Amino acid sequence: MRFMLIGNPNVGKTTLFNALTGANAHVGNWSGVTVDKLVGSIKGGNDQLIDLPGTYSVTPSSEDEGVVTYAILHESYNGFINIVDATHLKRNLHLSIQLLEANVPMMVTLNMMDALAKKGLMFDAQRLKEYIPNELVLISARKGEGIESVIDGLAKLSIEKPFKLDYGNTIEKAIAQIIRLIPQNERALDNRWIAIQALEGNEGVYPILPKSEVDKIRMIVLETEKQIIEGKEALSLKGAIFNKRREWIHQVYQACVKPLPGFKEEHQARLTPIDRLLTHPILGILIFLLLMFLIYSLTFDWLGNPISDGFTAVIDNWVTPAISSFLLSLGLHPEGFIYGALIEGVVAGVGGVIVFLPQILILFFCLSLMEATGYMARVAIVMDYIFSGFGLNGKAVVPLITGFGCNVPAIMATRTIPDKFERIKTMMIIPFMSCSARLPVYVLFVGIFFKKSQSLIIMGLYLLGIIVALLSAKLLSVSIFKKTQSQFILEVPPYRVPQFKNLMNQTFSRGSDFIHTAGKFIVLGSVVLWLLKDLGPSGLHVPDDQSYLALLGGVLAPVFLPLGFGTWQAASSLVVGFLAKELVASSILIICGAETGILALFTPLQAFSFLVFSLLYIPCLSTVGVMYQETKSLKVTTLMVIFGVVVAYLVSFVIYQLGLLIL
Amino acid sequence: MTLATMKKGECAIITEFTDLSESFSRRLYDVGISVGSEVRLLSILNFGQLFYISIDDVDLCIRKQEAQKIKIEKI
Repeated sequence: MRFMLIGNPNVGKTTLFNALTGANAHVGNWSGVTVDKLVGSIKGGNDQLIDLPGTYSVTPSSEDEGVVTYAILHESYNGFINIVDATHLKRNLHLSIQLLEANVPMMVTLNMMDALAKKGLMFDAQRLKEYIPNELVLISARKGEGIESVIDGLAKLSIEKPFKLDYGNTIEKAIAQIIRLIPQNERALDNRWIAIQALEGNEGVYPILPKSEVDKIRMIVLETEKQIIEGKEALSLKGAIFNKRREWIHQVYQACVKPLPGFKEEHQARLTPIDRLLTHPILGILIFLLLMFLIYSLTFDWLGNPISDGFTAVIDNWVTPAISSFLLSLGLHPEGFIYGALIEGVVAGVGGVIVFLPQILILFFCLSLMEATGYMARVAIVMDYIFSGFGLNGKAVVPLITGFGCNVPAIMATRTIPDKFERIKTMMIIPFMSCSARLPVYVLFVGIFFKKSQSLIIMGLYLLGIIVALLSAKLLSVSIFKKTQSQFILEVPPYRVPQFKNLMNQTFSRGSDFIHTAGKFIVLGSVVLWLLKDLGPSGLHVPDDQSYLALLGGVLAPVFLPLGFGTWQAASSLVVGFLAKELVASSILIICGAETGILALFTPLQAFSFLVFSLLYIPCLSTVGVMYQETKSLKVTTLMVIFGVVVAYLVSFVIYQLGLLIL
Repeated sequence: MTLATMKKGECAIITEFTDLSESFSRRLYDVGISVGSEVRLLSILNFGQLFYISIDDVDLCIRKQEAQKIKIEKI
């Protein structure tokens, strides 16, 4: 048997999923949708559980939510498990109604019963039966209470009495008309559900209907909407449906939720002192910056870098020599092609990814912690003030800050932004945040050309990145994304003590995401790069300046003349930097021989222009790969890359030409 | 009266949405807000730009520009 787990965001769905399945879930794909599908097998049997993304409504407002309609229509299943947060019953039941209307066997699990008692309320499960005859289980997922009853209950899941909420004459008439247009089918789903969803404006139901009927149904929807508005029943059809549901929910709430005897009910919802502090427009931002500084110190200085250095040492001293001697023992020639491609391409590439892993896991852990406690929502609140001016959403702050560490997890972190276009906009400016891999480039050049004001120049570059990012966001908002309005409805979740197990799960699944995507691209890129460097028109093992890489650099060099660094050395190190930005430093050092070589190649102004370009131009290959993975669109990814290059070119051009005029 | 004219701690009933975009009002429905909902203003944040409200049992923030489009009647 297969069941689908459906519920609102932040109701403990992941906790219940983990409790029901243990840790055996695997990620699958919905065809045509970018959201991952998580499937696990329920403990103690052969039943499977599919985890659907948290959603407020079956009718989709975001990509995540579209999956729910898709799954209800196309997935094969024997029933639903609807997880409901007992402390937010009024809102949660809207989704429950939509699921009940499908008239598929469904279990309602009421979660957070312990939290409800803390609020001084009690729940009358017997009375709920009068409204919702389905199998009902009271649980407390984080304490692991009631999980056994859920598993037992699944076995006897059935439809005792079909659920039907009366929407009033106008809408009921329309429902009946639409049902007649839906052809006979094998679906377990009630056709009434499809009719109601169509009336609610759920576009997701149309693809399964015959084309000839779709237009007729759309006409009925329009006609009904008109009647509702003219008859002053409600402001819209959606509103009329909503009102009926709300009425019903209020009845249910009145009947089932009672104050605990002797408990003084707190009538006024109000801000707690801690919330007042964290959402304070000035103190809130200061606290956030301090916290970010701590997370950064932890990720890089205190914990991440020492572990990373250890990794590097192990790889350099043990792993690489071991693989090398193994290959030699196979009879491969150390000067040979395969040996070079494996050692200098694959092994070096994989090593490069693994070395970054400790920092990324630590960073992900901290971010998961901020999300799980509910603090992230408060950050989005305080940052919205600054960001809204640039056409960004307060929720963009976390991805952008993460970008200072590494752009790859930063792009992944944009998933929390619900609007697709706002999300793409945020992704496009993330590469301007100077990631840690760019630091070696700055350090090298600043040490050679700007000995007196090293930290000033480096800080200036970071600042330049932020300014360019914000201005680009503004530019994109008034051009390509002009039509999309920035919307900000931020649900503020209550503070919660996070569960360590969930945090670890989340951290590792994000970490493995990173390895899968970034790893693929880095390994592939390393091999290609090694080939370019080693091969030339005259054959294998050519000197650097006769390799294909040098030729490519030579072709590109004239393009960079207006920026002040039109040499093949600079151009080819930028090409190499596409693989990983820190390689700009090492490759230019190798190509030029030594620091004196670099000194001869650039004037200080040219060097600065080169640094600005290195900061802003195409993000590294892994970032581009992740952009593609997250958008699943070649067009959008290409747009992002071109946008980055153009901005980098323009900014460097302006800086160099202005510099020439002034100096 | 709009939501943007409410004072901290006040309660009101939503009477009308004026000129709210389709997608925004849909989002409001999703989190449980519509005409007839009872709102309490918990706080005004970010120098008057953000309205922190509580409806039924949900706490959320909306921007001033949207709050101005939500008509209310004080209770």
